[in-house]
Amino acid sequence: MRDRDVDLAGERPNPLLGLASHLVLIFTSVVVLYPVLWVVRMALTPGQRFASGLSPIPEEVTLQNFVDVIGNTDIQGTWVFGHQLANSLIVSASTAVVGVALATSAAYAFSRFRFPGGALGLKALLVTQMFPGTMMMIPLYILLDTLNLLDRQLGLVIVYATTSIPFSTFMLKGYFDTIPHELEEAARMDGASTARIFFSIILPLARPAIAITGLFSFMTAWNEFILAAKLMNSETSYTLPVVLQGYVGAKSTAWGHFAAGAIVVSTPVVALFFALQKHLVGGLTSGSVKG
Amino acid sequence: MLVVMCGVLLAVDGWAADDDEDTRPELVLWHAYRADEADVLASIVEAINKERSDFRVKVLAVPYDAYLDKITAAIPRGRGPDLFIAAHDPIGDWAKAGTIQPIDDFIDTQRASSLVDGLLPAVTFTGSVAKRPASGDAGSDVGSDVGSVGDDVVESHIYGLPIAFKSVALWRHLRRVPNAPKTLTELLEEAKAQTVDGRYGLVYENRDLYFHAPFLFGYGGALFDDAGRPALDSAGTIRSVEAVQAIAASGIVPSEVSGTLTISLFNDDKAAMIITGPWSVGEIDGGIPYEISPLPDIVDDKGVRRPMSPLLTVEAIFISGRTEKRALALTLMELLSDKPRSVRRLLEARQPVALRAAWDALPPKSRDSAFLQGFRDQLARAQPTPNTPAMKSLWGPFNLALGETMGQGTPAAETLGAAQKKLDGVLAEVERTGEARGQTGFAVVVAILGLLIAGWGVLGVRKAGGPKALWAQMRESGSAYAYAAPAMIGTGVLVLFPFGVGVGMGFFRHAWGTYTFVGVENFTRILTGADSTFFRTLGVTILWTASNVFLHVVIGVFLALLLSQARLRFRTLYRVLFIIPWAVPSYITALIWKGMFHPEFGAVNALLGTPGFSWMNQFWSAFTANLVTNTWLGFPFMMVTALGGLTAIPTDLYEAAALDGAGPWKRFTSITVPLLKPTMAPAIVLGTVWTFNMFNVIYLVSGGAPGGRTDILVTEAFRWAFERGQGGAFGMAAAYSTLIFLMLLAYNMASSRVQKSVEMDR
Repeated sequence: MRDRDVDLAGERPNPLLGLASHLVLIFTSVVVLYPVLWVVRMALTPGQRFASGLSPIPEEVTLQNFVDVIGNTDIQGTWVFGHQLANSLIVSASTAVVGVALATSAAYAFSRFRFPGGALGLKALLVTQMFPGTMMMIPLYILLDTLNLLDRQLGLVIVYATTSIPFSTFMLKGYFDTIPHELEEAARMDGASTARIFFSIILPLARPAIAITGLFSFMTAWNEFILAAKLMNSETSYTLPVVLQGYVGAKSTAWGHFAAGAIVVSTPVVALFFALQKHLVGGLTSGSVKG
Repeated sequence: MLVVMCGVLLAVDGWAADDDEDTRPELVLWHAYRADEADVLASIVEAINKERSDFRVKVLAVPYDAYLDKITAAIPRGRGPDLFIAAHDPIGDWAKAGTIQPIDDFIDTQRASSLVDGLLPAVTFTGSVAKRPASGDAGSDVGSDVGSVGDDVVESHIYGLPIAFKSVALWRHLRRVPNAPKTLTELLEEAKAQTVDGRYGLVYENRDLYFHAPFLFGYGGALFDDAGRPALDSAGTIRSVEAVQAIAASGIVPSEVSGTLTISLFNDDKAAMIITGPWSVGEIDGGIPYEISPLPDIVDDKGVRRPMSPLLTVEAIFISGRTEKRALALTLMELLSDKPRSVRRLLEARQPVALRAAWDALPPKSRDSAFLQGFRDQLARAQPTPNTPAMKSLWGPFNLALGETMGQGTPAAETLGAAQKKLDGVLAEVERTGEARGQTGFAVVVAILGLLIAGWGVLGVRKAGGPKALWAQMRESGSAYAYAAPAMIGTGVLVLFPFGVGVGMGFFRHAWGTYTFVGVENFTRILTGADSTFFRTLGVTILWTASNVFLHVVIGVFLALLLSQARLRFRTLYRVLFIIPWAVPSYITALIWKGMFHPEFGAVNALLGTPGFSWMNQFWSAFTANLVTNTWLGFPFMMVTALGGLTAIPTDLYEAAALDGAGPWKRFTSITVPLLKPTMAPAIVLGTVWTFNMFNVIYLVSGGAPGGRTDILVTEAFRWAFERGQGGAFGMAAAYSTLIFLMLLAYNMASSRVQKSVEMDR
């Protein structure tokens, strides 16, 4: 993979531009991090109180909240947190894989074929996002009950995957549209099948878009709690966001646990993005075809 | 890989299911306790499971925010618990919907007299309840009750066994206020003396009825009149709001207090006295010396002396209206509330328990004993929160009125009068018998919708050149369908059915599990009702969506451009940092932002040099607070999408353009923008739809303040569904949702038309 040797501005980078960029980026980092540091402060401060004041630096530091959250076991000695983490990972990873796989295939159809109902199908996908989720809850519960999918990870995966498919399909279709047809035509001349073209030409070229939609699908499942709290009926089948929600009571909140939990929950997402972000570095298309 | 994943998923799916060989019948018990209360309950149940041979108990702790909703969804479907523990105030709704069943037979005189006084009225509901079989198939399936209103009978029953009680009381920092004040005047004098050095004399949530209630009752106000109708604008109530307004104006109570701020200030020794309940004990620092005492009396202008009665919440065990194990459930109820177990809850969970005899076990002179006794003393002066369905509709308007008087200084008589009017409107909706339009009306609506869809289909076929040509085209496109089918079918099934039901519900009126067909009445009420705020809210929603999407895209693309400079150092670091707002659960960060906008303790005012500026008192500043929070949350998504899109732009284009003498701006507008468009367009379209329906930020940051003016359509729909009584005005909420849907559809059709015409021009 070859990095860009010119800026998007198109010129040899000048030092002033670099300095200005860093100033902007550092300022943004401060704005981004300030509220997050509060979460860190609450997580590291002993007790369960909400942090107050102006400085996000903790006065006393303890890891007790993390120990409590991660070491959560029930009365029988089952390591509940372990189950919940596994649930979250399995459900989110499955959602990402199933969601992206189905969306990639659908997006390919919408991008490369003109077929009756194609435009309509694409519109229909968009339309699914327009009805407020609150009102979908009751019928969705009835539907999942009828399909015998209540209290099962499979039920969550199916719902989450179908929630993430519209965006993923749109995103991937947009990206596929930018991949020049010449490549496929050349391959077709060489006798490659549609499936082969899809797997060995389109997919590798679409890596940035697949990375983004994968991250998006994963997060759709990873952070969802409203449905998970409603559908799952035992503590060992909860996902982590439900556990986080459980730290909020009717009139009081275990802020220390909540903050520690929030950090635990966000770490895998940041790690996943770190792993995926190298695919967001350009060069592939420009290396393989001259625009 | 896909196959492997599916395999793993199927293997672990339902791994938590009980597969042991226990043959005892299982009782399912749900609760929303957490921390000590949850642990003690779990341990009690564990002991019961070891002891009993005739049944075993499965306990589930449900997050509080999901609890009531989960019960409402699960029990009518026969998927709920056999018993559950909950606060008593929704029992009117539950009794009407058949969610719970009476247990008058269980609460005999002896049991009744074993409880501390004043609890049973809370769990007794008098009113018309729908006649339903104790179990059977009378579920609340949409449409199953078309046209029927149900045979209502007025009855009075006890519905739950009280196990604990909670109310607010006065917490005094002992070094600041060593002695309990006897009257409000004394309390305020103490508070005034303590309001020095950045400390406040008294801290409580003075914009929330739950905490205002002691003042309301103390000044002789009431929530309902003698006939049982809600009455928010009685002289005593108005007087109470005027009094707390004056207290706030004297500076001894800080403004815009939340529960967390109350505790924070007390912990920092910046609050001499606070008003809160026993639930706060886990958040109070161990080192703070404090004592609980009952709220004092109020002596009004005429010399009448009344106690400041807080609202009493009774926690009780309820038996599901659908359980088939009533006898066993009663046995478990008895066990959970007996003396040894009540003592455990009292001593180990510091829970003010309902069983009188348990209190004898309190060791004299311990700190916990004093704490618990304080709340027991307060109980004698508390009033049970009314458990009628109308009470649920009362909170919203009352709190809006309080907020408006405290925030903008509007006279109490005016805001409470407006609240009464608003409440009358909501209750008219709740009590509207809903003239049933019957099956014919329903059929007409279905027929019209069917005709529309059919007509649209015919148009589509004609456009394709007739059915034959269409069929031929379809047969040629086999592989296209194969690629698209899995996603389309999955989305179709899971979205179309709920969507259809959701739209259908807009033509019904829902009350306590019964749906009555009312035609387009919900829609006409929203669109033409005299008290409807629909168009105003729509305006706010459009402004909200446009400003958010604009900021997210501009900031996201700008940062993505900066971050794709090849020679920029640390760009991986920056990239990872910038997605953090997206990664951290928004519930907590939204609340932190809300805290940052606090007039006195928030970082924003400290930074801007505008101490004391109240962001939530005016529409524009409250809107800005929401917007800033949502921009912080939303730009990373657009940034990541733009980063992906930029990689698809061949760098050679820039080189060529540079050689041709195009400047940076020209290159941006003629290369970056058009080539980024295919990737950004779907994100923008969907971002618009999502922002239009963004619920969390509005709800958590401004909460609609001031006076519901920053509410958007989706929060309004939510309020109808969950905050306005009737066991959920789902019909109104669904009608709102359908209107939201239609507007987004119109926007999308218009925007794709515009886009098409733009593309043709090129």
